[in-house]
Amino acid sequence: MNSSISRFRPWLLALAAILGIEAAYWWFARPDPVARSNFLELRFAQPDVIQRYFAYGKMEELAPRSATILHVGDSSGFHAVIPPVVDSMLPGERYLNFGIATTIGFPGYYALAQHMLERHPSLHTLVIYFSMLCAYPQPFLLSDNPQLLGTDLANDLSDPARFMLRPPTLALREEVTNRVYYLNGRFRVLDAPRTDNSGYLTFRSIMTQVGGWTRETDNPDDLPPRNIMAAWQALDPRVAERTCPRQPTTAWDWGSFSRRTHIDIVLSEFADLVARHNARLVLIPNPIPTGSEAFREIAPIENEFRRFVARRPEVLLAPADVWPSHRFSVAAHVATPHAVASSERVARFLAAHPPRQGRAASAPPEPTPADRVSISAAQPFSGYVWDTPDRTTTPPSIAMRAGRSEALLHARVRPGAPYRLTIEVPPGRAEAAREALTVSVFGVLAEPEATEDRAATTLAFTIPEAAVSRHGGFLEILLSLRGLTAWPEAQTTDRPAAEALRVHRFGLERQTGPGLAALP
Amino acid sequence: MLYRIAPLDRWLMAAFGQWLGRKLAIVLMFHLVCFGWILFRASTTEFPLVWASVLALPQVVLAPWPPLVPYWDHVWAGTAGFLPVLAGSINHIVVSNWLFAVFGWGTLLFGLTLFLPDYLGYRANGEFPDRYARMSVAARAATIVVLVYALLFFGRRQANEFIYFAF
Repeated sequence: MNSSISRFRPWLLALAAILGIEAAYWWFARPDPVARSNFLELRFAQPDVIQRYFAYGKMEELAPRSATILHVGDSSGFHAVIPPVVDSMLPGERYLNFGIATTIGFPGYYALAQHMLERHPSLHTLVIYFSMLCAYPQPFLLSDNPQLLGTDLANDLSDPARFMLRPPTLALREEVTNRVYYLNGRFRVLDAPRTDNSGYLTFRSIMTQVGGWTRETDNPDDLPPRNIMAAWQALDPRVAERTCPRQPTTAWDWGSFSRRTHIDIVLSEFADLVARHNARLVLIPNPIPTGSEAFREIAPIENEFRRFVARRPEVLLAPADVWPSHRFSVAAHVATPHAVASSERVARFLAAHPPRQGRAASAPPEPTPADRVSISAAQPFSGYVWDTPDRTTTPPSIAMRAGRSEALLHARVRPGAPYRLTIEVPPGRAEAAREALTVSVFGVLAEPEATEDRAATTLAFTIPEAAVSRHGGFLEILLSLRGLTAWPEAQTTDRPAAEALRVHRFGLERQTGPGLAALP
Repeated sequence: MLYRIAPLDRWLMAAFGQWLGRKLAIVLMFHLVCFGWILFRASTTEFPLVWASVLALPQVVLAPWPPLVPYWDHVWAGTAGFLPVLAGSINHIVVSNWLFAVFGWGTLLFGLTLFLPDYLGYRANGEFPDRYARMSVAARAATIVVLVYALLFFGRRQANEFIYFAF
């Protein structure tokens, strides 16, 4: 008997040591549940799939935040819904954009929704935002597709059995692997971004400040004009049918002993989930570009959605609006200059369908935006129609793309006061820029600061408080070389490259002083 | 079967003596096995690239040395310290062959997990479990803890394709 126990003594001792280590780490560090994750692969010298970084980045930054409206779904919503814009039109609400990518799939959307609903009782609305063109519930986006990242997400976030395999020290995994794989910073800087993918770096520069939104970067400047349906035209019809079935797909359901559409099965699961959390389900399709109907007739799919909401009247379905194709970057992505309009579309629909009595919102707090923002040309930032940085200048500079007359810059600041925008340009370029440049925010002109020194390399403008506060401090700054204060519907490339605006740095600083609102 | 027809290990031991010949035979066998793995895993399009990379290796390893010779001459002459020149030389070699250094470190790191237990077993005239059985209770427990955390932190999260499915 004793000898049989003694054989296990090393195991018992090891178990005690592990329990001690885990308890001590948990007690001192209290790691977030998301940090105790096996979701990232973290292979030696080999980056993960980029969508995995987007998903994990959102989980680690946004999952601890309280909200009243949670948005899950594919990349169409990731790029199309700016939470501060929605919040500004829905007083008392806090919108969180957890849209990631189609490769997450519906199991992933479900796992995220379940995790957040369990964690944040303040949530009263779950929005599933998706593209009606392909990204509706169908086999390719369900759990029988092993390529879906959502399966891993579901395992990681909502599988209680696997939770046992996620001890507190798992939160140290990324730091430990970085230190060991890269010789304590010798081969890679310890706090370097997970990947140098430009889309990911743009995402990291803006996502946390704006509740999860990031501009579309698949097609960086959306010009020259192209056939946004070209990708589908080029697709093998069999592949197109497998990835985007024309009719709702069905499966045998043992519960009801009948065949049901995947749309019905999947959305019923979501509807049941939100019902358990005293919340409601809202389905919002991304706008559809004109011309798409020639390649993908959505009526059979849309009708099945309508049948579903007729059976489950507590679920809301927004119409699949048709927008002009020049407002799109690719078929399923609204182009960056139209993301504000797209966000307003979502806000208007939600405002027209307020939550039921008893779930009146009181917006949970969010991190206070900055009073001062500095955007260097040397670092990735959220903007539109900017060329790749020129690192041969000192300091590095960035120019509006050749042939373009307008560009955008995004930032989030604390609202409630005017802001001073400074634009540092290279010597010799200041006077021409000062002559040509018009700056506006949401159609409101920013007043240029007068200067005696025409050769000064810093241009300054004052952005009025009304423009700053319009969308809760989210700023979409339009820089135009032809005096426009709104993004042109039809973009042109008629400007000579030599006239392009070149910039070293942008700065935003909250203004206080006589006649201005004092800081709270 | 080649070693039955051409017993290289015996020839090496006969030529270089028991001790050195045996070590050379181990090194030779290791490289033959590595070459076999390349044949086993690489496709016909990958093989020439891998082989070109293998042939380029001596040049990659030797190229950083000539600029270092004057520094080492100072070390041998006693006018420069050994350790600073060694550190500088290593840094120079790493910077000159960045990818080689990074992936060399990776090979060393992951190879260590195989080499270390094999070596401990070899020292015990058996395999690692024989050595493990003779350890104290505390050492066995520590080994288990180390292995559990190594799996937790460094284990692959993605299932590996079974090697024989490569064909």
